Amino acid sequence: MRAQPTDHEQRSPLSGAGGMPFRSLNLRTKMALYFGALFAVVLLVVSLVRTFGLPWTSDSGSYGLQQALVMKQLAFLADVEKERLRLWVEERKHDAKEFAERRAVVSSISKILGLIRKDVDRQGSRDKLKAELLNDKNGKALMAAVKGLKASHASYGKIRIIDAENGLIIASTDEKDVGLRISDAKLGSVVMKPGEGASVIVTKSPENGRTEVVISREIRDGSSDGAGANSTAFGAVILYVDGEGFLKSFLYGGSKIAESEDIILVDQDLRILVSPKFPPREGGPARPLEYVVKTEPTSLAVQGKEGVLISRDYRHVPILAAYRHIKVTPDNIWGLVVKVDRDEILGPTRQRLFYASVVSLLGVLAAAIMAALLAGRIARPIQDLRLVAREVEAGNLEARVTVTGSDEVGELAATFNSMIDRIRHWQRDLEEQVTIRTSRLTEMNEELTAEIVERRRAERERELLIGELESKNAELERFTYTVSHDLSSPLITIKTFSGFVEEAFKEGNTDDVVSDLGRITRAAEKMGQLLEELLELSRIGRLVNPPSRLSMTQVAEEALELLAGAIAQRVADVRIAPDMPVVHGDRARLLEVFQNLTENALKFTKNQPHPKIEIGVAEVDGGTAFYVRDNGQGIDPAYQERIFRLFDKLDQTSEGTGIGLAIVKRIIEVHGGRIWVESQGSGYGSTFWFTLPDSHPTETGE
Amino acid sequence: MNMKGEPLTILLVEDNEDHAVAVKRSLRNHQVANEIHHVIDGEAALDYLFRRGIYANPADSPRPHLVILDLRLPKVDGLEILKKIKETHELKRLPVVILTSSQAEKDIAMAYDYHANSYVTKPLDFDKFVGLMKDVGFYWLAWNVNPHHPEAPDV
Repeated sequence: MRAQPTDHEQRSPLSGAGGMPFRSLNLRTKMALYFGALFAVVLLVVSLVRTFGLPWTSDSGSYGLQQALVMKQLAFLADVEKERLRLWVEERKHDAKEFAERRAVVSSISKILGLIRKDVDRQGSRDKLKAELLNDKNGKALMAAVKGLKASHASYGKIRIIDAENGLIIASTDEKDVGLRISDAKLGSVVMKPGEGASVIVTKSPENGRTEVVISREIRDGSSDGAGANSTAFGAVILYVDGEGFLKSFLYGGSKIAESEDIILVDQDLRILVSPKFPPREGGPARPLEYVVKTEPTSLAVQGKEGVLISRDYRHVPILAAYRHIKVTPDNIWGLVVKVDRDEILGPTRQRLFYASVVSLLGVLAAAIMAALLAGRIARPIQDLRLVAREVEAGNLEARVTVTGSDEVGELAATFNSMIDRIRHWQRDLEEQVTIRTSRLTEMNEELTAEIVERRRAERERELLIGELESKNAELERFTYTVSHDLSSPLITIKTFSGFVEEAFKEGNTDDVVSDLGRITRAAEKMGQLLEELLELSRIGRLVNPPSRLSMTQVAEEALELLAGAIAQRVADVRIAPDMPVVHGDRARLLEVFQNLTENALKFTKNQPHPKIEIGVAEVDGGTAFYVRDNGQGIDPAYQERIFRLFDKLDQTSEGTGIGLAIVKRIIEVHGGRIWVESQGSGYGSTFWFTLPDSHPTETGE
Repeated sequence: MNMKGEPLTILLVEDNEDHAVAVKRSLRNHQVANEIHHVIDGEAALDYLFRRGIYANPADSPRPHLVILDLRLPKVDGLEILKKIKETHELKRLPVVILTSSQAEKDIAMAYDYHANSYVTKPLDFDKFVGLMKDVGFYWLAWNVNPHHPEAPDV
């Protein structure tokens, strides 16, 4: 049974196999699949760790590193921008202060202010004033001064000097402006309150609507280093810087971190001061001083805080940002935010991770598909094997597995086939044995049946024999009884009457002696006769003459010849049927039968004046039966059985000992026949019937 | 004669003439009975007892005081007669003595089953035969108290 362990090993992956191909894989394929899946998982974990770092450790992975790096760059950039902007603002404020404190400027202004006052008093025209100012020596000096200041720095758009009292432009880099009046509102916002130093505001140009950074500084009479409160401000210098044109390009002068890099500059009210790089989400241009950027970094910045964070910008786009604040004037803070789109910075990393995930997923998928295909390849023969096994189980021992290849499955298939061969062989053996056994059983059954039949027959025979034996026994008993009774009867007579005779002689009364002696003699004779007849009876069946063919008619005629005297004496009409058959039998005994029966008939007809005796043959119950019929006294049915008994005489007065019919019965029985008597009763005559079955009639006699 | 002055009567049922003579002579010699009626077969015995046929006249068939019955009889067997006597209302008290040469156990048992009053066998010895007859006669006719016979029911 070497095949069994192999069978078991190979079958185990198949055990409980449903429709799933994976389940029907062998161990090797399964392991390969499991390890493939494990590899994919490890790959994924490693790339995740590399990307996002290890949790609960300082390792933040490539994603974190990238993020940190960008944050640093942003912070650095923000610092640089803040510093540049602050320095620039301070420079401009310094420019204004220096200009405002120039002695030449102050004196020129104070002189010009007299001219203006006169003119104002005169209610002169603007053109005239303008011309006066332009032609005035001091006016020319101031013009030269502002032009000189403008030339000192590229950022300046225009520079004006105004009369604090009237808001009149005294001098300007643009001559057209001279003599114009700045609106009160405008003036209020531009000209700082006394003692507050320079003011820096961003506003819209009333001339062209462009944003302008306006730096203004009061110009005071007298020495500036004296207490400011004592001197009065009679003028102001105003420096204009173009917002979009200069400030914006100034801010974007730094190095690029990313394409999406942008700098948002807001005032205290979170209004943008320069337009952003990208349009807002809601569409339309984001106009400076109109568009409010209320985001986390801008809010934090104007609160005076600085730092980096990840948040969303005005577009709701996730960003990495560094936020700073710039104190432009003591009561004016700007917010600066340098930001990049997170997606641009971390996008590639995420992309890589995504690709890695996709690739490993694809790998697992591919492995699964391959495994499935492989499993199918390996499982198919096993499936075939299973199908065949089921078929075999269902009773088809002709089913065979197609053996493919020499691998384990092939070997298993071959083993399986040889197993079925063996089973089939056994089955055939078994069937053969069953057939043999069945036929033997059938034979035995037949024998048994025959035996049973035989036994039943034997049983019937036995019962018949027992019955016969019982009747013989009863007959024997009756015989013994009869003999003892009938023999003791004459003996009693002899003994008793001998006693009477003796007594008679003693008493001398011999009257009865003669008759008594006669009784004794008769009794002795009867006894002798009885003994002789008993002997005769016992001879029947013991001493048998060899059977010969004999005509019953002839035998009957012979019997009548022996009785001729008696017949003649009775004048009886005796007839014999001439066609009685020839039989095989004991001639002397059958002669005795006819003789006794005829003798008997003569006795029974003694009261009949015309006795008739008829001897013949007839069909009785499908057999031949002979009869002796008389027209005598007949026999009462009650006694018809008794008459064949030994010494049983119906008529005590009739002759004979009563042994004749017993002898006849005995002879018939020895011949295998049966004897019975038929009589309607007293006075109807009687018919004695007998059969001789052992003496088959062969031919009809005369 | 009995105390009532009736003649003592015996019915002897015996087929053997010699035996009947011997019985009668033995009884007569000892003067036991006044009358002995002898019948030679069963049929005659029944006729006598039931007063039929030639015995139809009661004068010819006086009721016996004892029945001596042989068993082996022609025509009607002795046991059959016994049975009939004991089955018959007005005869059943009649003493019946079986006198036979048969000593067969079956016969003895049957006789008693049919309520025979006594069973004796015929002895082969003369003295015993005569003595038995005398004793049976004396016993049943002298010593034995005879019953009163019930009347035959009106038919």
